[in-house]
Amino acid sequence: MTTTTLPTDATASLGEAATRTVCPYCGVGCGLLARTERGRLTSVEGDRDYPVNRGRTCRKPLELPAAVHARDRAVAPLMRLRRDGRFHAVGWDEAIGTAAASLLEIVAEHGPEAIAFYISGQLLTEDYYAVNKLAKGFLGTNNVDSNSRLCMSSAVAGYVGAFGSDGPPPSYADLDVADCLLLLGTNTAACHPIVWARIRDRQAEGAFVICADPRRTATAEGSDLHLPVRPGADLALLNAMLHVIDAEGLVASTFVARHTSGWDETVAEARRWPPSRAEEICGVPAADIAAAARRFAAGRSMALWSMGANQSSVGTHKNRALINLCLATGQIGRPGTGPLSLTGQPNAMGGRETGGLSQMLPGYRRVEHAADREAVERHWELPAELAGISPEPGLPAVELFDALEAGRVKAVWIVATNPAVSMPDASRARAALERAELVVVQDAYHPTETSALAHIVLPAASWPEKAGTMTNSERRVALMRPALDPPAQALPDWRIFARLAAELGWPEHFGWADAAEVFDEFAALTAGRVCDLSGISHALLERSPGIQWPFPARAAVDGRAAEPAQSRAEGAATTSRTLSNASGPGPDEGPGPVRLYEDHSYPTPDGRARFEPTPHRDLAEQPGGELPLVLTTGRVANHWHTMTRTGKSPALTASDPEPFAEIHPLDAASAEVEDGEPVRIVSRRGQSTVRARVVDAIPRGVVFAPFGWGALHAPAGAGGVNAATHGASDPVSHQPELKAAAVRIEPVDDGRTDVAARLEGRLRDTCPADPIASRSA
Amino acid sequence: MSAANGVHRGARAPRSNPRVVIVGTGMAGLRVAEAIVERAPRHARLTMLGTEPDPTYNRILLSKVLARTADLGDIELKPASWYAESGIDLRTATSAAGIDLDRSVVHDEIGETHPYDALVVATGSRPFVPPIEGRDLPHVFRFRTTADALAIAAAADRAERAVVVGGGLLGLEAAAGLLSRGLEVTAVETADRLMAQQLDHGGAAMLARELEGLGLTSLTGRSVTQIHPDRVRLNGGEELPADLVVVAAGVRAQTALAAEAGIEVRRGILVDDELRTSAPGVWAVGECAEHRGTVYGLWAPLAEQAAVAGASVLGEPAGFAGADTATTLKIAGIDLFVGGPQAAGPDGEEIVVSDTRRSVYRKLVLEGSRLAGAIVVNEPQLARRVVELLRTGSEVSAALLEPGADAGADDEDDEEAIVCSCNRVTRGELVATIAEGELETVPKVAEATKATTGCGSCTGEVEMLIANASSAGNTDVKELKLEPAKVEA
Repeated sequence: MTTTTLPTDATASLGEAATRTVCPYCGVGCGLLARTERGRLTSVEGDRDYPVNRGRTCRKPLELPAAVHARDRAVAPLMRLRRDGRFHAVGWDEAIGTAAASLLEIVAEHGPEAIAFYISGQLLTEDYYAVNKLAKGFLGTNNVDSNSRLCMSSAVAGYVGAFGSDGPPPSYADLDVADCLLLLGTNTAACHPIVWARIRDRQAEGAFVICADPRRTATAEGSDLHLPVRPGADLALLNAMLHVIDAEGLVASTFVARHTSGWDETVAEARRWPPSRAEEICGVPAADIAAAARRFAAGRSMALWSMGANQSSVGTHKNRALINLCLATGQIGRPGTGPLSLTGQPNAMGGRETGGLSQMLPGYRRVEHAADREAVERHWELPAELAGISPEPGLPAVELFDALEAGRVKAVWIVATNPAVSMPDASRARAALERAELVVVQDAYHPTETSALAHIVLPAASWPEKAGTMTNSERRVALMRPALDPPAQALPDWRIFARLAAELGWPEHFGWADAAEVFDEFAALTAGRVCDLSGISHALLERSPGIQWPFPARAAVDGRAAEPAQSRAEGAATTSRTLSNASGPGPDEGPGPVRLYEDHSYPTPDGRARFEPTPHRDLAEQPGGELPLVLTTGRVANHWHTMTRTGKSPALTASDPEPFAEIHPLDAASAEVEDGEPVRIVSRRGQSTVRARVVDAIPRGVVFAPFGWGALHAPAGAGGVNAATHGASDPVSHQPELKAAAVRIEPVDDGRTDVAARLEGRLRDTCPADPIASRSA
Repeated sequence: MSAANGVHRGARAPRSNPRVVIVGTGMAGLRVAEAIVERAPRHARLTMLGTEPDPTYNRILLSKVLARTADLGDIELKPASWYAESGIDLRTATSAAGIDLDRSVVHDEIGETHPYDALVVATGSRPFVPPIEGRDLPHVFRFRTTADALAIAAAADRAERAVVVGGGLLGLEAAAGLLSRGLEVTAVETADRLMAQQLDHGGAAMLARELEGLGLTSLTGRSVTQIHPDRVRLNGGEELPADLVVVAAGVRAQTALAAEAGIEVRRGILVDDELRTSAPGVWAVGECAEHRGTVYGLWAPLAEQAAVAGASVLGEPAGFAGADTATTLKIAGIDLFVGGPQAAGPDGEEIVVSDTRRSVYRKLVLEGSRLAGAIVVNEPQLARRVVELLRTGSEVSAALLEPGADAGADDEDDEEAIVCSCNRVTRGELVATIAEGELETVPKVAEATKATTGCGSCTGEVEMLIANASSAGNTDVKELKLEPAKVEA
């Protein structure tokens, strides 16, 4: 174990053994210092020299010692013969040997599409690359999908549709010089706290912050204008904003004419949405819609969004509508402008770059494109006897679990994620896993709600036990440095895939010596792509506070690594003003371009950015009758995902110790429930017991509940909130509409729990028929 | 998939209303039943078989029965109606005679068979009685069951001088109970100090001094070799007058039933993190189970085991990953907490503070800046803080390491401080629950929060919180605070 040598000036202030690394939680990608002592992580703090956070962090990473050294870390490969039997610790050879033999047997019998990998935005780029190479290249299945499908696949679809390629155009540095920030469907204050801190800094300097969210969240509270849009009505709002921009002559006509296509059809749709009509649908006063539109069109403006836009059956259109606003007003490619999706997971971006979704290949390539497949196959030196990469996109997450349930997919290998809690219609996801012939779970913890359903559990190294890279929401590639050895037999995920590949017969193709070699192989595959990071290496990252791509090989040779990116110059004067708020001189922004498309040349066939009409559509499941409320789900500030790590910290758990739902006082009154009482949230699919928080921060007709509590963290028998959600998805991005399900609230007066009800099969009888359950896969 | 590669097709037939048999009506067995009922009310068909004649009681509080400060009703954990309402077929005074793994049935001693889909073995432990001459005399008692406690209590009416064989946790609690009944009590411990499994010499010395102050004599490094009707003889040859002898020299896991059925047993019944035994469909919890090489004897980890087993029986995800053993001694007037290792490793550090004027002893065992173990005598606020530090592994603040540190000064307002460590109930929860329900008695608080239903050592604090709550509008708060009960020597 080596501790990274820090630059001398930094080391002086760091004292004891500290390792410079980045945060494993959200997509903001803050720099951290991890202090260790005798093989234990003792404390974590923000890295003052890191440009993203400048020393700030939220509460979650500070509590990582409790998670890293938790007693339920997976430390040995486990196997069991029967799923209702007990696990036995086995060696790696036996575990991998058994798993490989089972996979081969299933492939021989049912074809490669009968196996699937369900992976995670928590994985490092190297891990992502290794599993995609093995599955899509060597095993011949494109059934490799990531939990990022539930998180930001609509953003991918939005960017690809508008610009011809994925890739968020602006950076956090643009926040520091923007005049107007439009936040839609993002509780930035709770979920991306350090981006929120930067927004607040800029707001103090006069920027205008608009927040569109059904709830009066902490973010809405801190905004200058809150647009309390009804769930599922964002498109009415955004179309109406475009309507105002068009009607009031605020369109950047020259930009639109020179650099875009599709304006006429798009504005034609928008013209159907005068603010007065939109108000009826979305609930936002017409005057506020107009005010927001004028603000957005006036100065330098950015659009920011997160799951509220993405987790929708029209998620791609919501992304397009936000980008439409940017394009119509020319808010792109200049300092302080652009559409910036805030990714939920730390390496959702790296996953996209490595082809982590079922239709993608490394370097933002697609499996349907023959040229893309050939380039990748060549790079991978696929043996001639293999069938090669399939041209058929694999199954996206929801369909993957449907296929498991239907028996079309027989084996699933789940890595660093907890679908038994996080998937929509979670009891169905669980049933799907129970039907699978082989479930392998590769995770840093055991049991999780998912690993409890496994045949084989493989122990994975966690943060800060492995080297590798992650890309944050602003295209910044950062190096995770190891500060500890993994516990007992745990291994970095890419090494586990390499072992599996070797067992399957391809040792030489997966014979990397270390993570840096994996990265180099991947980076070379991005040369010439939009996400070109072929100039980046672990060695270069050692000397940089992250590098923003594109960063082609020649950039490294040109010495751009040492110089601030040329594109920074434009905004430099104002940027430095903000940085001076921090104590002492601000940290270097690091190499690589701050923003894409400064030349307004877009990677579309005609080089123009594309507008797209975004007609409003109703929710997949409209509330009404016995299910009069819309359940919208999300996170709380101190918990992450399914609480596997944050649930270990008493300090984090203290703020929200148990699952809850926010209910409007009038809805609470009609449901005859009271503040502080346990209540059931009931949908057509399932139910969950939570504690009522009767608040007026939520509009009438809407219930908010965080989704993170699964069986291991919720009170016994309470059930998870995703038991109530559904998997109806966006037709383009295949992202499910986790943000809106029709539910009712009931008092819990008989001591019954949903478990009992489910076991007795009562549930479906008490609810109207489920139109979504019969969706085709 | 074929069996050849080791993994069977995993679909599990959903059981409707599984039959669950719990062998053992001790605290662990009851907690398993509670966990099952809580998760799936009226779902499983539960049968509990127990050797003892009473429904489950709080064994930890038996010393109060001995002391006659509580009767059996006070320590009963669930009223008889609860079992009926929960659909539990409770068979007291009905020992299990054998387990037939092939047929999935339990035979009881009166010849009935109990088929199961899931079997939970919670047979607990039995007292270890050293082979001392005279150990079968009528004035020699064990201290395990209500019958034992009642028998000792009755014998104490007629006795004047008692000897307790064993200076461990249980022995000292028995001794304190007898002391409160007005007997002259001597505890005899073979090891060179009291509570040798938990305490270092310094802590044990402070404890002995405190006990002496309460009137309890302890002899260490000595063993009882013979018991006579009116006296005992020690290994050095000297004799102590004694007309009542209690043997509390440790326990052994009750594994015979499982072992005879062919279930893997070492010191205890071997279980994995789900508390599954080597036999499919059979779980084991409590003092009879051996998990990762440890047979636990303290309630907090056993309660966790039981909750995990209950979930696992129902097919819910759950795992017990082991626990640091931490314990408190519950003798009125002495507040003792011990957790983690009592000596530092080669690279560790130890900080020891001993102050006989204040009757305070404190030992902190550090691994780097992390607290690995601690002994805390008569500093309850520090003890609470130490519990948290042991649990989280957080850095120990420099202030705590100062020899004279007033460690608990700011703890009064700490809502997160765990008051009831057995059931993990925080001060904040208690304050809120007491206020909301206008609860005025400890049993009501116990019913609402489970606090005090474990080892009971937090009862004083809970009383204090109740008193504080009821005096919230009162000008003179202090007057209403309760002093801990004094022990009559």
